[in-house]
Amino acid sequence: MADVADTELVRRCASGEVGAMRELVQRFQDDVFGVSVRMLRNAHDAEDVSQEVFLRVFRSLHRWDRERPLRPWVLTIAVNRCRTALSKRSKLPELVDYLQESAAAVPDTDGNELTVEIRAAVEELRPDYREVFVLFHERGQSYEEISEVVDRPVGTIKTWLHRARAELLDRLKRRGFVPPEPTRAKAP
Amino acid sequence: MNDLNSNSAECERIAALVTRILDREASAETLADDSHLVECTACREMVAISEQFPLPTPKPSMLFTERVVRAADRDFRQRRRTRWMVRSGAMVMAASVLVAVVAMKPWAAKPNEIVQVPEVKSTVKPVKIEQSFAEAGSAFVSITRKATDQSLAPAVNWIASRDATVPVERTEIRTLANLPNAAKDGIEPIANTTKRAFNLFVRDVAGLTASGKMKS
Repeated sequence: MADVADTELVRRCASGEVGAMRELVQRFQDDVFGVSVRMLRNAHDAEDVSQEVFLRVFRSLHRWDRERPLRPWVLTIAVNRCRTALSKRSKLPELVDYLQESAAAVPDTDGNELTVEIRAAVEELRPDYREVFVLFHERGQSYEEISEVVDRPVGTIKTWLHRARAELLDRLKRRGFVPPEPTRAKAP
Repeated sequence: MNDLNSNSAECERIAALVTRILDREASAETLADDSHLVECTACREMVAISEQFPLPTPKPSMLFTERVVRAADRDFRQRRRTRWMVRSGAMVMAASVLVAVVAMKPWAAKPNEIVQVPEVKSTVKPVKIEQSFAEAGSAFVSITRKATDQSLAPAVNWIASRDATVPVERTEIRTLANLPNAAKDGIEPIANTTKRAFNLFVRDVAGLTASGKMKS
């Protein structure tokens, strides 16, 4: 059930009130940009897609089901737009390495080596695993909300999340961030 | 070996606990006083990794919000203008149709006043060919009968006998007009009936087309 604030905000946005539009963007921009930047692995692309997402949100406000919360609906549009962008990108010729490593790449603001490595591991995950991982661990969505966003059963979401963590841990082990398990270490 | 097995079991317990914490089913504080973490480096590292979640995510640029709001406002105005133009176009079209309908005045001709084409009545009576033939036939029958009757009637002595004492008055008969009244009376009905039957026949035949139907 959508709360009254969401309903009222949507009503004001639908009437073209600029202040309400700003409020909606500010409320969801971290979620939308966070998902986009993890999915697309490029800050500039993520900003472009995020803008597109909000324009679509404003155009489609009349289709929003007032009985359901607003955040998963906005994130559904964000995930779909990211998938479309990834699909378009896969059809384009590959950029040369120095262009990919330009300033548009996601900056590593945190100097922590482990954090950098985890982030790199997340970016190497399969796109659907990455979606679920980011929505759960970075955006704090519940299994049910993620299920709604990516349009998959809750069981599938749990499986994907479990596999994503296992892959991530596996990569970190290979990189030497997790010491070998004691049983194997102590075995002759 | 027992020590290794117990260590492995403890590691599995910690791994399960970390999963529950990551799934938000248990609090991170449950691991705080765990003695296994003091002696097992692998589990300690695993917990350290789990504590990195959620990862800090980069924020959009400072101008992002304003840029999006400006674009959304522009888009909203454009859509409203398009909607207005579509509505105006529809109204103009509706008005044009209305004007056209008013100009044509379909209601001017009332149903009662519809001009009906008068039905042309034919002056020619329907052909009764059987009747005509019947009349013609009866006429011929009567002619024949009268002729037969006259032929069977006693002969008139038109030529005077030499032996006759009484002289026979001889009259020259050249035309039917000169015939005696008795003879005229005998022939006249026959002639009239025949003439009438023939006239009827000619009239009916004249009224027919080549296909045998009545001429309109």
